[in-house]
Amino acid sequence: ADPNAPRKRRSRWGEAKAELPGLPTAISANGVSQAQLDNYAIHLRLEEINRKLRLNDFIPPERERSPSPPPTYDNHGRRTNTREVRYRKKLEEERIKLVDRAMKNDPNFRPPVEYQQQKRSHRPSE
Amino acid sequence: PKPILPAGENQEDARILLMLNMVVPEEFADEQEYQDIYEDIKEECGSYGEVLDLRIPRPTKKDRKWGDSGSLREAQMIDEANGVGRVYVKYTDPQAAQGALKALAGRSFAGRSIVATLLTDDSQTTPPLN
Repeated sequence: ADPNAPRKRRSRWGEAKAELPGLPTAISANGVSQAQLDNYAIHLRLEEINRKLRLNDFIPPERERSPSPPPTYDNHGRRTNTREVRYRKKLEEERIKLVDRAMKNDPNFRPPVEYQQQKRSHRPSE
Repeated sequence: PKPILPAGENQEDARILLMLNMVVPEEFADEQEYQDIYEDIKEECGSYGEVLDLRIPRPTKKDRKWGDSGSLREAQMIDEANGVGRVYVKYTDPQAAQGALKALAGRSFAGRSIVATLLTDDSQTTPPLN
């Protein structure tokens, strides 16, 4: 490939709209604080992640994917970083970060049940 | 506090489109990736009308040396105040902003469903726009 050729940009836009029931995406900012808007976005993202994980719908289409890392294997020679494993882990880690943020912003926020189990398994030590 | 409600039609003077759940600051570490995202958003938003200003705030540089938890929290608060993680698009015409809201809210961007709202120029949510 020509190294001087302009890099082809991959578009991140998806075509179809996917609304979550009860969570409008076009919302009114009237009388609503920025913190509330941000918390709402966190809440919607958490619901979105939960749905993706539940439906096993989390591997992005080809054009949105970044290059795969070299394969890794466990002691039995099984691959440990398949596409499925990598993207699932990414969402689970994002969920932890979002819950942490939501708990900081809103003392009434109750973390989902998956969160506690997951937090233990993902963060053995820091 | 007031509950979050679906957008109404009575926003004649609101011409700033605010989009949430669209970008995550981690993507901005790489300059090329930031430029890509910027162009990608600019192109699409421009198809709904003339864009006066587009802002995708980036995090302030965090110095590792001073990376104790106190200054890290401070940096997070500054980022929050600067609108990091949000996307602001100011249109010349409020009609264009209205059209963009309808078209873009709920669309996915890198696998995230966009949450969108309209703000007026004097909005108290302090967009980083002049």
